[in-house]
Amino acid sequence: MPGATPVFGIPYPFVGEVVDPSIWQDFAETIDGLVNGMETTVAGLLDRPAAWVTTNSQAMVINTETTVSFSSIRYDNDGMFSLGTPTQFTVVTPGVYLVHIDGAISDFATLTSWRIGVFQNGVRKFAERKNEATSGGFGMQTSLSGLIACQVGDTIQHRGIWTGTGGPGTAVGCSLQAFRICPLTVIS
Amino acid sequence: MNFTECLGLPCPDPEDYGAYALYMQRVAEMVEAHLLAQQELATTFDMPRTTIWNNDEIIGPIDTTGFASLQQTSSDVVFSNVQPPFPFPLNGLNIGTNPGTFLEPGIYHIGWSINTVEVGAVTNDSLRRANCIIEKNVPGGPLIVAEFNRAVQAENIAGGSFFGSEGTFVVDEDFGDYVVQITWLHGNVASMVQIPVGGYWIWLTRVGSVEAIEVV
Repeated sequence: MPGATPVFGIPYPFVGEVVDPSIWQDFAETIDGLVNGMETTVAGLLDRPAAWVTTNSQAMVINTETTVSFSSIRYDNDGMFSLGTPTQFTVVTPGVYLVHIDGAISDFATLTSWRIGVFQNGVRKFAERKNEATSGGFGMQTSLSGLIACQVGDTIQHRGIWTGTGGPGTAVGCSLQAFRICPLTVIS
Repeated sequence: MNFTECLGLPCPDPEDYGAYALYMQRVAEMVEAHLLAQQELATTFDMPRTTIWNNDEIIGPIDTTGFASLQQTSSDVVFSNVQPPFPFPLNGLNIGTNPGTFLEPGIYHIGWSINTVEVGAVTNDSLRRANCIIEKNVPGGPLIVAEFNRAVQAENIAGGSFFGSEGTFVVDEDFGDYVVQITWLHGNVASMVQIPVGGYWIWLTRVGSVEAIEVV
């Protein structure tokens, strides 16, 4: 009856036991499996879920908070974005995510305010507001980042609202990015 | 008897045949120890110490007197993989173990976002400001090692003024001497200003070590 290490169960013979080829094989195959498993685990950790989508034209009705619809996938290694539901990320792997959004408002006559915000499951988490501009031109650009804890199936959206005159406005240079910082488990 | 170059695993000679079983046990135990160490490193990599706070009660209202402390309490923790959650001494947000220290040296990322809302009338273009200052307590007084501040001008628009900031900083071996101070003020003379429930977010995560990456 061979012995084994306490955690991973690597088998080894007892003193006096004949070390035949099958014992060597069990020993080697167990270590092989463990090392391969560790390599797979580490490779998975290095491949953090991340996605980045963009659009360059989103109609924005004045004084109406509008969810940005994205049309271009820069990258998405975890299937968070679907062109069938282009207004959101849907979290596949639970964890804490760093979410970043960008967006500019243009095609206004005068701008009193432009606000963009990160929404999780339809609830605003954080936002950024710029005030006052007198020219449409390249518009009023702003961006923000923040950490949010996400469960599987949670939605993340980028919404914008502007006030002023003229329009209808157009949101340009919009992006939504997210990458996973850590799992939701507690460090033991 | 020889040993492998990196891990020092034993390689018996032909004359050690009688002790093969013992050597195999030693190799098995050493491999297990190294795998456990790698597993711990992988877990550390995958789980940087991270906490997110969001206020569960109204902050303020405050007048234009000057900076007021922006405090979070333990009930404001919406996520933390550090248990127990970081404590909150009276004078601002201090992150780390009691009495308000960081848990270890390293590079940290901190960010915050607030929404300031006027109780009454709005003074157009009046100041809204918040400071996030990382201090190290040294002889002679606190030393500011990093600041992530932000100021905006308010408009009379429903919903309030949203703004925030973020950045990274280094905590050295004297991590027990570091604190995070977050304060805010406004210049809205027409009325007092408050932060509604859920209007103040702050997050902190340890990015990594300050040690140089060694390529072997």
